[in-house]
Amino acid sequence: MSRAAAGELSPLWVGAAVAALLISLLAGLAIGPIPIPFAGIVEDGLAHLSLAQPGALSPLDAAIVWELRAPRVVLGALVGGMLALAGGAYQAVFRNPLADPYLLGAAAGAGLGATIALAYGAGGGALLPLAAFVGGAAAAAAAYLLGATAGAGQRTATLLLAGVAVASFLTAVQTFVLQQNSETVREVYSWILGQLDTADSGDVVMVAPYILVSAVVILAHRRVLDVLRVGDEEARSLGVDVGRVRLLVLAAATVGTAAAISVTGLIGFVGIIVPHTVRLIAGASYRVVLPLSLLFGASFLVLADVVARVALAPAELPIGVVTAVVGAPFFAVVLRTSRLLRT
Amino acid sequence: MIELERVTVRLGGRDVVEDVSLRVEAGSWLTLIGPNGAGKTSLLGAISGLLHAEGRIVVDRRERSDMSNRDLARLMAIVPQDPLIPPDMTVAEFALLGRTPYLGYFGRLGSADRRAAEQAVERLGLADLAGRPLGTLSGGERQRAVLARALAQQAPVLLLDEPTAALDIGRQQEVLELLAGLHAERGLTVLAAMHDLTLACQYADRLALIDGGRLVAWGKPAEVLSEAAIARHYRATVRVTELGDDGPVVVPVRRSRAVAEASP
Repeated sequence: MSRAAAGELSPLWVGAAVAALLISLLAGLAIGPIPIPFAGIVEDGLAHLSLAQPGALSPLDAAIVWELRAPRVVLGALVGGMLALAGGAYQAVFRNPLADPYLLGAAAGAGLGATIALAYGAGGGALLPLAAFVGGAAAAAAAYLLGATAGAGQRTATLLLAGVAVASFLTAVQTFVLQQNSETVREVYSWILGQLDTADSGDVVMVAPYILVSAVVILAHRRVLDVLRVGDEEARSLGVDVGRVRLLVLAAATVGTAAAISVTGLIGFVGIIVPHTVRLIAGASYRVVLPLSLLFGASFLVLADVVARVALAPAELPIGVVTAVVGAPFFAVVLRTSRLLRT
Repeated sequence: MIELERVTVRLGGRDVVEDVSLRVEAGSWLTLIGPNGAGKTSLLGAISGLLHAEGRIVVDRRERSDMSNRDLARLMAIVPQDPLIPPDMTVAEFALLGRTPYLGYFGRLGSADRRAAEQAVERLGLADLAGRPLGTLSGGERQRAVLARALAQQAPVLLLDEPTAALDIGRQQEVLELLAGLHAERGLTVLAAMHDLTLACQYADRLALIDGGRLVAWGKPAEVLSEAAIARHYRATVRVTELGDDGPVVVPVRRSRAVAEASP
């Protein structure tokens, strides 16, 4: 049997995804209100590694590339890859093509955390990332505990309902806090739409370890997640400890997601668009979907950020608006194809 | 190979399996028969560990309760009545899932696993369909894919719940002939639940008739299947005749005619 038939990831796809990521990163560094030539960036980058002579870029251009754009591009890649990977993981665990990393209430929890930090926190929201991270992770944990202790049998359906309950509750609290502190509405709103333009290297250093660990845990489960595609009962009869897999993968995906959105705000649709595109073009096995979602998710968000930067230049579009403008029509396509697959 | 001692399964406050004791010898084929709701599927569920059961279940001289999911999966491959078929999974991927019990938690599929799955796919005549998504297969092909997964599992025991439900008569025969071939060539122990009594007779060494959760008859097909037993437990009017070497053949007859014949 061929490797593709067996659901294995072909090196060709990995090569294509890595190439796409490199091109996106380069585009992210080069394109903006002040265009900077690709060749100059490459040469200057090599000079940093002592592989070429310095001086390809003027000091101003070098500062724009490495100090302003690089943290933003790297953060975009980390967050995009994480959200896409977490989306794929959530779809695997819930066996639901429409699952995304916010399904257990991570977004609502992070939103409430951010709102509280902006409304009551000292120092103009310096605590925002921490509050958003704790809020997102705690909301998903609460939904998991609620779902795991209520109702037997239909475990994933119960979890889903618990997620809905937790998210609506937290959103209601957030609305109340906002209504009491209407002067923060603008800031909260801009956080909800997501932004990469305020990124600095501190953000990258802060979230990278969480995203790295989370990605390793999820990718290590890619084969086991394929077994879950035949349902809990049959996965169990094939020797899989379904409860443990579900807990580990959801925990990793949630921590990674909470870390990502704690610095960028709520960027939607990446977790749905990217894994589904990969599934449609490269194969449905999670040994294919998860690694490629990580790579293409990173490219996608970096490119979306380029669009956000140039579409209304010199003004910037919130990146969440860009991903949603692409995401909403795509969502409709996914709905249609997933219905066709079932019939 | 499988021993059940006073097994009881309680579901929703009702005993759906009650005090069943039964032995399946290594290398033999036992088919459970009984009317709808008799408890056949629940009994299989108790053995596979899907349902909680009281009493003793021993598989290959080991207590079921002492075994992990993985231990059991290496001993017993299960073909459920209504398997969940991911439509976008290929036949080859599906067969490879049968290797799961041999891989560590983070283990990867090796060449031995690929070979085992490939052989299973070929044995069931699916080599040309290996790259096809399951959603595009016919019912008979799909059932063969499920058997390929079970075969790739290389377990000495095969547990089948209605392996031929929803198949036409030709596909039923095809699947059962394949199973009989595997049973003979690999010495597999088969425990199946079936509805078609004639087919059950043709392919099993022993039948166990279950009604109301209890084991009511057990033995060679000809001993278990009498017109009286079928009338009592299935409330069906049938003739049981012999047809060559194939053993008993169960034929339903119109009730009105049967009554007319009986009264002089």
